[in-house]
Formats: sequence, structure tokens, C-alpha cells
Amino acid sequence: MTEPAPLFEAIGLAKRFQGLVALSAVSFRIQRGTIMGLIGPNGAGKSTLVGIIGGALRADGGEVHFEGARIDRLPPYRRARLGIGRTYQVTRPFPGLTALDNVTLGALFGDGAGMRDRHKALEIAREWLDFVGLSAHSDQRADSLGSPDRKRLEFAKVLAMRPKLLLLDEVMAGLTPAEVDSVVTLIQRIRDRGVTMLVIEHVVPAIRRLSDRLLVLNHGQLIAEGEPRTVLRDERVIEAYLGRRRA
Amino acid sequence: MKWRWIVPAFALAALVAVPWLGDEVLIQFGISALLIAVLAQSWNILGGFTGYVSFGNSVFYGLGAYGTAIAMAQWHQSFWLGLVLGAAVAVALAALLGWPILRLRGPYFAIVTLGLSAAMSALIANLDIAGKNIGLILPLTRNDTMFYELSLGLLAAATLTVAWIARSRFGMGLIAIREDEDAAATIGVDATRYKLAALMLAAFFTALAGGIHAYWITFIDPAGSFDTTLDVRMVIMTMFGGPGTVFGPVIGAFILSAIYEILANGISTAAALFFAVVIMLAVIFMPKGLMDLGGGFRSLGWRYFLANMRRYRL
Amino acid sequence: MLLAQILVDGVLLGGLYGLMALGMALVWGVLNIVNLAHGAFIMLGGYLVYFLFAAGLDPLASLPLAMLAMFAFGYVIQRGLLNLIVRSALLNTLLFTFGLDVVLTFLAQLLFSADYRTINPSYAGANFTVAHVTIPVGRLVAFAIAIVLAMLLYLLLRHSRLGRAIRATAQNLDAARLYGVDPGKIYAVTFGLGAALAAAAGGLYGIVAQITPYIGATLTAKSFVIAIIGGLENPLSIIAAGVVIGLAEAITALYLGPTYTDVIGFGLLVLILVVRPARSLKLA
Repeated sequence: MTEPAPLFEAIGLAKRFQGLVALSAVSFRIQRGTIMGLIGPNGAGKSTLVGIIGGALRADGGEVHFEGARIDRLPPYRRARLGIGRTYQVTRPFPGLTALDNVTLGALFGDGAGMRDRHKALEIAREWLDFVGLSAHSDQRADSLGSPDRKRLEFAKVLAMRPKLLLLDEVMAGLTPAEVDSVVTLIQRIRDRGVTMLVIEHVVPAIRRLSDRLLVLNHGQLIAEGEPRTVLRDERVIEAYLGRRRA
Repeated sequence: MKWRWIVPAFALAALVAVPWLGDEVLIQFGISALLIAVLAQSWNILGGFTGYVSFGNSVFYGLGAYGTAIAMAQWHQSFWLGLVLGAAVAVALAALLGWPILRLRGPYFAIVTLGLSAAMSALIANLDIAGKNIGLILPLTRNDTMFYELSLGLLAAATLTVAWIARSRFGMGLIAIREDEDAAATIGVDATRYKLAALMLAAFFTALAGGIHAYWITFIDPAGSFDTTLDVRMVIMTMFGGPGTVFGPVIGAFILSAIYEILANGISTAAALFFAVVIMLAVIFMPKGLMDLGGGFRSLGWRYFLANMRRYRL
Repeated sequence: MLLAQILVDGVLLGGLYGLMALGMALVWGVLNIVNLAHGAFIMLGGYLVYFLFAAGLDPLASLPLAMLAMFAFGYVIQRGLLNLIVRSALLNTLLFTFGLDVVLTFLAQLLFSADYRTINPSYAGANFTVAHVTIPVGRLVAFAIAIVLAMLLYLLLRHSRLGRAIRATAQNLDAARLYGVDPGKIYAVTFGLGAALAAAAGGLYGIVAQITPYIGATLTAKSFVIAIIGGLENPLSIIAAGVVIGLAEAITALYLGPTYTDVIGFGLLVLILVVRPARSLKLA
């Protein structure tokens, strides 16, 4: 049985930072409507990978395909308009603007030149603020929001872009277990709306619940790929996180 | 929503009527103040909304002046053609230069713009058609009222443009660039094109002001047209009035021009000193300008000033 | 051998330019303040040395005194005034220091009048010739002192406790605090050092050129350019950048004419910033 054409494909990605190999021979596919998890110890190259997919970084080798087309040469804003959205590990709201303005911006620009109507964009923004539960704070300055609210804002902003592929970079970092649960639910609701996602996480139980498939990165290389249950029992994966098993 | 425009409309009507209500001195002051307000408002587009602080907008002013002067004095064309020529050259330079220098961020952009005016001045001083160091003389037209209304019209046009920017998708994109340029790109803003557009718009209005001024004073030379004190003044006036607002730059320009005029008539060198002290105090106590002061004072009273001082100290 | 002469002149003057930029670069790198009044500090230092010279003190002897005086001046200005805006947006600190520059220039004009002042110790006029190139002693001395001061600064920053504290504060204010560094004191000391270096440059400038209350603006601009080209980290590379600018000016004056010398510094800066944006982004 042949697989349908993937929404996203990375082929042989490589990236060096002045002699340090951050990524090498990274290849994988993400099918439409699925959640691909990505885990790996610190320094494995996860954020580098997100940077390359989003366009902030240029790969030294390899190809990036989105909806069948090569996008390596496209700058970040073009990729955003094609439908690739990302969140930042340390949230980056537009500090001096209200939460509503932040999300409105996402709605206005995320869809390319299509959205010109400010009022329509405002409506969409309010919907998404509601979706993430931030309606009460819509007129608050973004830099006055607390950390969990900022993460929600980041979600609302990127969702307002109507992305086809959403890159979530450690959105659960620093959250309490209860907060992690609500984020997991949120992500599931987003997936139910048909958004494909690449979720990078450290919180393993959450990623196990969410992912359809799981990738494991270590020292810039993919050491495992497959169903979460299988991957998490893989010896190499356990070794990467915990060190060698005592015989 | 419409009532917000009643006060400005009245102000505009009053301003239009000045030539019939005031004397010669007032009209001349008016022309200068209106033109510098145009400069401030133009700067506001790139500096206030987009966050790219330029200290070299006077280069466009000078080009506008020279374009008009060359068209009128050397080629014997009409004033309107001169204005068009000046604006065209300025916008073309903005497009050409903007491409490389807008790639620079923050302080580097500001510093590079510092030298622009001086460089252009040196270049022009070597051109025969521009009259080299001696300058050019334009045909004389004694009609201060015309110049006044023309300047007022230009200011109105510039302000309407900024008002449109403030409510448009373009404007929101500029603001996003100001707040966080990389994050703006991540959501789909074409920062390069937007910044260039902002620069070209600023160049356009600034050049027109330069052209009107040249015709009004009938004489231009490199030093006078590429005047770096203009750069400082347009920045200060906008910052004082409120960057990124629609009326801030205009109000800042009028108030500071008036104060300067009053002082300069009294103790001229001290006028510069007074200004310097005002700027320093403003940076400490009201860094967001008058427009923010209005709202801040209403909610915090005098504590507004103290809060500002506390916010930015070590 | 006109070219050789021009090159030597450029290098010697460039060393002095580098010294001028040293203070500005130090303050910029540590406090993140672009001090538009830096040229005024140079000017004030020049006047100090001038008046001490008029009172009978050889400039080489009064240089340390002027540096000490301006160090104190800088320290007080930072602690009392600049501290208030240290965390403001860049534009605001530019406007603020611009205002300060106007105030200092005004005061200088009031106190010292606009007359041209030169410092002429007996050796300033002398010169000697090496391989058909005339080397003015005054300029050579200025160059030598500039190099010495830059090396002293380098040693201070690299090998002294104070220097380490300064570098730590520059790199990470909060971390430095955790290690017991008092940022207020470090900021004030650093700014004082910047002013002291400016004073030395001013005194030397008075020997090779003239001092008026208005020399500040061009010298600030020049220091800017050199600070950026040389980077904010290594004093020696700033001297090198100063020499580059000195050479560029000399060559431009020879081949393009003197009207372009003011402009060449900026031209070079634009070229460098545009062609190697990665470097400039590093410090943004």
C-alpha cells in the first residue's frame, strides 16, 4: 500500500555551527492530519530543526519539502503564508500590543495577502482567544501577561494564521502537571480541526499520549522513528536519555 | 467614532484662517512650523510606527529642495514640476539606499543614516547643475499666504496618510516590525517590503516639504538644504509629541517650534540650552511623549512621571 | 614620496582617532549607552590640558591630571544622571546624551569663549625625517601615548579584578550581580574610564590640532564609526580601526579632495555594515 503524499518531508538535513555538527542526515515525513512528536536530550538539535523548517535558519545540506514543493530557499514570511506556523520556546509576543492585537496580526498576515479586512481579522482573533481561554485578557498588554497566559497567546496567534503545519517548540516547558494536561487537550482539539503538527517536547508522558508517530533525535541524528510505544522501548533511545544500561 | 475628528477639524479650520487673522510674522512662523511638522510626521512613519530611527531624513528634504530649484532655476520649469522632480529623486534614492541599509537593525541603522545627509551635501557641492557650493536662486514669488496654505495642505495630507496607516493592515505590519521584527516575519509579514515602503513614504513627504521651503526662501545651498539640525528637530518633536501616534508629531512640532521662537527672540543661545534640558527631562519623565502623557496623567496623576523615572533606571 | 608621507600622516593621526573611540566603545559595550556627548568630553579634556599648559605644566605631565579630573566628572555624571536612563530604549539614550552634549558645549562656549586654542609645547613643532618622510614629533608622541593607553586598558580589562568585573557586567548583568558585582559602581567606574580616555585624547588633540567648544560633534561621529568598525571588545582592534580611518582620510584627501574626508569615514562604515551584516547583527 502506498502512502499518500506527505504534507511535509525533510531529506538529509544537515547543519553545522562553526564546526559543531547540529544536524546530520535527518530525514522524515509527516502525514497530513497527524501529530509527529520529536524528543531528544538537551542539545540534540531539536530547536535547530524547527529553525530550519520555519526558515529562520538555512540548512547546510538537504532539502525541505512542503506540500510537494521545495521550500529551502523561501524566507520565513513566505513559509508562514504557505501555511507553516511556529511557536517559540521562550514566548515572543509583540510586547507593547494587546493580546487581541497580537492575535489579529496573526489573522491578518498568516494567510498571505488574502486577508485585508481588519474587522474580519478582529473577529477571527476573538474566536481564537476564546478557543484558548484568553478572552478575559484580550485588552491586556502582552508583556503584562503571566507565563501560562503567554503560551496561550502564542497558540492563539499562530492558530489565527490558519496554519497547515504547526511547529510547537517545547510548549509544555515549565508548566505544572495540571497545566500540561490542559495543553494536551488543547493540542488534541487543534488536531481535531485538521491541523498537522510537529510537537517537540521533553514531557514524555504527554508526548506519548499525543503523537501518532515519534522521532528521537540525539547529537543531531535521528536514532529512532515509529509508534510511540515501540520507540520509547527502544534500547538506543533509553541509552540516549539515561546512559548505558547496567548489565 | 466620528466625533474624534471634530477637534482636529476645528483646529484645521483655525489654521486655514491664520493668514487672515494674523500678521506677517505669524504667517512666516506658521510656514516654518508647518513644514517642520511635515518632517516630524514623515519621520513618524519610519521611526514611530516601524521603529527604524533615522537621523538622515534631511537628505530627502535637501533632494526635494534641489529638485525643485534645478527644475525652476536651471530648466525654467514650473514649481509643480519641480516638486514632482524633487519628490521623484528622493523616493528613488530611498528605494536604492533603503535596500541595503534597512537590513541593519537598531543602533546600526541609526548611525548609518547619520552620514547620509553630509555625504549627499558633499556630492551636491561638486555638481555644476546644482550650483556647487554657491547654490541656486529660484524665481521670486511674494505670496506668503499661498506658501502657508500649501504647507498646511501638505501637513494635512501627511497626517491623513498617517491616520490611514494607523488603521490599515500595512500599519499593523509596521507596528509588528517595530515590536519584534523576527516574530513578525514568522507570522507572515514581508518586513523588507514594508520597511522600504515606509522609507519611501517618509522620503516623499519630506522632499515635498523641502521643495516648498526652497521656493519660499528662493535661495538654497548645500549647507542650508542638507541641514542636520533638522534631523535632530524632527526626531525630538516626534518623540516629544508621541511617536507612533497620529497627532503627536504635529502637536510636538507646533509646541516646540513656538517655544523655540519665543526663546530665540529673547535669549537665542540659551534657546538651544533650554531645548537640551527639556529633552533630557522629557526622556527621564515622559519618554513616550505628550500623547501618552495625556492618558497616563489621567490615570496616575503626578505619579506618572515618577513611574517613568523608576522604570528605566538601573 | 608623497604617498608615503600621506600614509604615515594617516597612521599617526589614526592612532589618536583610535584613542578617541576607545572611551566611547568601552561605555557602549558595558553600559549599552551610545554617548553622543563623548566628543564634548574630549573637548573638555582638551581645555583642561590647555589651561594647565597655560599655567606652565607640560601636557605630558598634565595628561594624567586631566584624566583623573574627567574620570571623576564622568563618574558623577553617570551615577547622578545617566543612571536614570540606563535601561531606556536606544533612541531615548541618544536624545538624552545629545541634550547633554548641547549643555556641555554651551557651558564651554560660555566659560572658554569660541577662540581657537592650541597647545604648543616646544617639541610639538619639531620634526625629523626618515627615508624622505617627515614625522612631526607632536603627532608621533600622540600616537605613542594612544597605543600605550590602549594597551593599559587591554591589560586592565583582561588581567585585573576590576577588569573582570567590568567584562562580566557587560556580558550578563544579572549573573554579575549574583557574583557580588555592584552594577552601579561598575557602571560609574566604566563611564569614568571612558571620560578619562576621552580627556587624554582631547589633550593630545590640542597638540596636533585646535580646540574650540564645537569640536565635539565631528569627533563623536568619528568615534562612532571607529567603535563599530573596531568592535566593542578589544581595545587594540579599536586602535587598528582608528588607523584604518586615519589612512582612509589621508588617501581620500590626496585623491578626491578635502571636501570628502568627513564623508569617507561614513562611506567606509556603510560599506562594512552592509557587506558584513552578520558582524553587526552580533552586537544588535
